[in-house]
Amino acid sequence: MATLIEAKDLTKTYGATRALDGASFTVGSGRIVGLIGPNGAGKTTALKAVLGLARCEGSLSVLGLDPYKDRNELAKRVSFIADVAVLPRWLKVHQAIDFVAGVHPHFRRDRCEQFLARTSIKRTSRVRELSKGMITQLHLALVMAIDAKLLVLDEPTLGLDILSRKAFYDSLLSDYMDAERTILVTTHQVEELENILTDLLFIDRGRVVLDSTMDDVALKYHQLVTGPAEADAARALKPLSERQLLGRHVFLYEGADAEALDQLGEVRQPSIADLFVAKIQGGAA
Amino acid sequence: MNRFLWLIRREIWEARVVWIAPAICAAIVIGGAIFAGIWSHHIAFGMDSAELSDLNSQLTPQKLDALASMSLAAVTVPFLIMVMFTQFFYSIDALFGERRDRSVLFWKSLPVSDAQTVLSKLTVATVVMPAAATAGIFISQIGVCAAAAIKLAWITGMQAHLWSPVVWLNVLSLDAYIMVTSMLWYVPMVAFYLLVSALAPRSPFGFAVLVPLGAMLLEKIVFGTRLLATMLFLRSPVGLFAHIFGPQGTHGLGFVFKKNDVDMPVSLFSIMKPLEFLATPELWVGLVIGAVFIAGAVWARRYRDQTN
Repeated sequence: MATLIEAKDLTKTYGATRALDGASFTVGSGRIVGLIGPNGAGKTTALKAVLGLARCEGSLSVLGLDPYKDRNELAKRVSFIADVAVLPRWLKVHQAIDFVAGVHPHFRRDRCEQFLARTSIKRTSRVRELSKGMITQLHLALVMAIDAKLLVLDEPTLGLDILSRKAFYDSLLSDYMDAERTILVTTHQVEELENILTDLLFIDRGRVVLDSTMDDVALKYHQLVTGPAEADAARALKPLSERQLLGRHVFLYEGADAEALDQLGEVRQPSIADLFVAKIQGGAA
Repeated sequence: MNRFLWLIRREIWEARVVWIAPAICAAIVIGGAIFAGIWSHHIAFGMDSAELSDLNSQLTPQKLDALASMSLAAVTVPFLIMVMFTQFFYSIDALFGERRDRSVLFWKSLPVSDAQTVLSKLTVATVVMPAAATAGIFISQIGVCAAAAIKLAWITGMQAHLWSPVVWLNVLSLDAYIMVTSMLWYVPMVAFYLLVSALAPRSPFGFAVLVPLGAMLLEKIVFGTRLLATMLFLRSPVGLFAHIFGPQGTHGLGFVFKKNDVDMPVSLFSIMKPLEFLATPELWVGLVIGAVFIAGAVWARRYRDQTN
């Protein structure tokens, strides 16, 4: 697995606030990495650094390039979708296709047309006449037709309804993703990404608090649901977090012995959302 | 098609004012000529038809050619004013609008450098807009000439001079001369608007107007001088004419109308002063200042965070 992104000690300050505070992580090729964190954790700053839109201290290499210095070279191999609002509203669909085909050396028009043919988007419409879901599909059609090594998605489904969100990720997985490509995605809707991601990257207050593959997460983290009688025994095993739910106690463990937990109650695989809450609140405590 | 041409096309897709403004201007000029032809008893120069006919018989064909060309060349004036306004409104929004609606994130996701982007916008304002205006000028001149020819044919026998190749050679040369010189002349203004557009946190219109006004006021208070005001006035069509036609540019270009004769240059070629224009220090100082502003605009788009 080749390393696509290598970040070491990324630091970025805006005035008095530290958006990134020594964040280090790597992203290998062929992975789908979820960059997840609370508001203001530094997600967008990290993405901007990867895209060469913001200068950071520390070292950062994307596809072997310094993204800030070689932004134009990088833009040929990296695609980017910010939230749905960034396609200019005056642009017509056919103009968008013509323009990207005109300026991008790795754009394959036939693929874009193929994808659009499956939608109800008219070529003569302006972006302002399309629904949010259609705008996202148009943007996705443009980006999927670019033969890029890395696709960066920043809250790509923000403000979309469930159907559009599902259609977005379905297209991404079935039409875009292959072993040669890598996706780095941030979102608040973690539950949608549960079955898509191969890697998790949690970021909180500018620091990386979890950097793991989903397989390792499954081995390392456990959720235990017990009755009140077993709660003290469960606490003795040093859970990351504890909460009560309808009279049951729910514990989340890192690196605990699964068999020992099994004695105390029902052991499950924690969801990303549960893990996120445990990790971020644990860090804050 | 070349990448830069795609950027130009993109600008024209977005800023339809590039061709709509000259089209409207041409419609007004031609409509005005037709309206004047129908309602006015005077042909031109405050003379009635008898006086004009009299003058006509006194003038040599060469002078008539120059007079006809000069009258048609007057059509350029409303277009030059129109270009100043469209350049202003286009340029102050060119780099601000994409930040306001965050579409800069889309444009920046494509492999197009900031220098190419800024230069494409400069090119639209200083080349494409004057070129479109020149097309509008030429169409208007044909329209005005047709309206005048009908009116003149009805009163006098001057139409031969309106359609003579000498007249149109003069007219086209003058159009081209004004276009090329005005492109160069307006570069520092457009570059300043683009810089404001790239930097202004809000209301680039306010910044583009208030910053020069503030600087002028400051200069007046601190140094008691009006250098900046003089420099800015020079970048108006009046200043342009003074530089491309020599000192007479602001005074009727050497045309003096008398009862039975017109004192005038032998041909319009003699009033164009391209070499003197190229030797004007103000031209080169303006271009250098423009280059500095453009470099600033490229820098701002490249290095300043565009999305906060």
